Amino acid sequence: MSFLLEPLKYGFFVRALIAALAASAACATVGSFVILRGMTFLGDALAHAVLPGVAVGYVLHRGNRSAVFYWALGTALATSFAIGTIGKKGRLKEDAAIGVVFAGMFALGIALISSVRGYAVDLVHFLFGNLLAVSPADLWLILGLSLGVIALALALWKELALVTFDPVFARTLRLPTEAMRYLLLLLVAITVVTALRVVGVALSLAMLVTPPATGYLLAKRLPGMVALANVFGILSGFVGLYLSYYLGIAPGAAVVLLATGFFLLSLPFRR
Amino acid sequence: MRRSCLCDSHPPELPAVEVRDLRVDGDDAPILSGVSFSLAQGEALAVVGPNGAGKTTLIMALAGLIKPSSGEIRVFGEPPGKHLCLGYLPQRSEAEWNFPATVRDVVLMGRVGQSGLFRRLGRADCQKAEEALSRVGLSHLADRRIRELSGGERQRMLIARALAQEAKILLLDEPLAGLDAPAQEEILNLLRDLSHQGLSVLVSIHELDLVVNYFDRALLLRNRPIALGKPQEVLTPENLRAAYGKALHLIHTSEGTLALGEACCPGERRELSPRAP
Repeated sequence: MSFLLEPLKYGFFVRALIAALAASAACATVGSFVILRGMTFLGDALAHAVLPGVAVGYVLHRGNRSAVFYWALGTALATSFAIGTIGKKGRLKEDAAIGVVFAGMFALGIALISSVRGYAVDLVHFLFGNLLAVSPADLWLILGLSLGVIALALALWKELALVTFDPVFARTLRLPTEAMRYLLLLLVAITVVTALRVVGVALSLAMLVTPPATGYLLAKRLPGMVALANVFGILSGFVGLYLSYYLGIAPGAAVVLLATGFFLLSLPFRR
Repeated sequence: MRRSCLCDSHPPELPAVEVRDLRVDGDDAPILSGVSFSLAQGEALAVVGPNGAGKTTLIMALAGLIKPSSGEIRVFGEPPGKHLCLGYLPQRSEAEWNFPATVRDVVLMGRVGQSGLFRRLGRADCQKAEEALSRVGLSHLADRRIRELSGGERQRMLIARALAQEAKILLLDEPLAGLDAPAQEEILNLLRDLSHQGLSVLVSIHELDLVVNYFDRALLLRNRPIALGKPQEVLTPENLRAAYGKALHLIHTSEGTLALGEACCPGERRELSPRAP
């Protein structure tokens, strides 16, 4: 018992734990729709594309991490809408459009960060997250965004399910399918930014994709899939943080390794 | 957001679908022009013609998914796109067949249009879905995962979804493609039963030999209407030659005239229609 309680003495650990659990739940819920719609690449692209926003925020508000967070969120929203519009209007295939925007934005981010003195250490933070440095203000933001995303996904559950399963049918039912598409992009953008805070650019895709993939293997129906994704996501966040505390490994990596472990363990039980 | 389907209140003599001088332009030439017909309530109409004749375009225009260049479409007297009582089954469903859902889940999705945003589906919706499942004979598969269905079962599930939607008009774009003969007949029997129950059914179909037995009327298309009427009167050698052109080969045998056409894919021939001499 003291094994579980000991780290809770530290405020930074408690904040990290709550942030990880909230982000895990949001990622698991939105990620389920992401993998069913085949939007995995878009999730990865968004995680990388926020880098220039992070860099600008970093330069403008030195040391203020919450401000950086808002810049990241703004960039994610702008990028997701840019990708959504390019995919609709252009003749280019959507994944190619995503690739162009994603790589360009990431390069811009690196260029901006490298122009600032002492960038190397901070770049590592952005790439791999700095979960143990979540401030109380950060925590409220992460909690609010995560719960908001989950609430919206639950409220529009049947519409999201329908649009994901059969977009043409959704159109014949006169559902606002375009608005739903942008809504899902918005949810993904917000979710990715919260995940970014927890595991960083490089690993946020895993939080979005791996627990839902595990749920998909084990569940027969969508509600079960999302529930299992949440269970595995939250469990990975929880156990991952303790592992990180006791073994001294990076928390983001511990969380993702656990999620990957659950996925591999579930492979023999798929239905 | 709540929209109800008021199809039950339509006077029975009002046509389910009325098309007047429909024209849909393609990149260079019109895909469809001069198409006029009406579909009565409870009528089963087959739309036939070679590939590229505009069958899919016609059905999509009726479903309100593409805009006609000119002409008029009326669904129970109103423009298309206003009605929920129109069930559309596309040729290649873009549905995600690996989606984790049971047959019942998919049929219940037919209720989403009747319900409003943010609302949960209720007991009445579930009841409608169960009724729809039993009308297409899929009640025993209600808990089956959709990816485990055969092609015919899949079509019947999508028809059930349209029934749960309370569709009064069914638009099916080549529902028989890729099905074996027993499954094809099962679908056609189901559609005929539904039309006898008062639904209007419009089906694009390549299997000309099946049109006579299962449909009240046929519309033969080749970018414009070639013939419209009773299947026996429409599917004559002259009309077929006008529609299919070089893709059609009429062979006179002792048992009658055999029409062979390249209906599906280049290089693949299939029997179109055996006819009495």
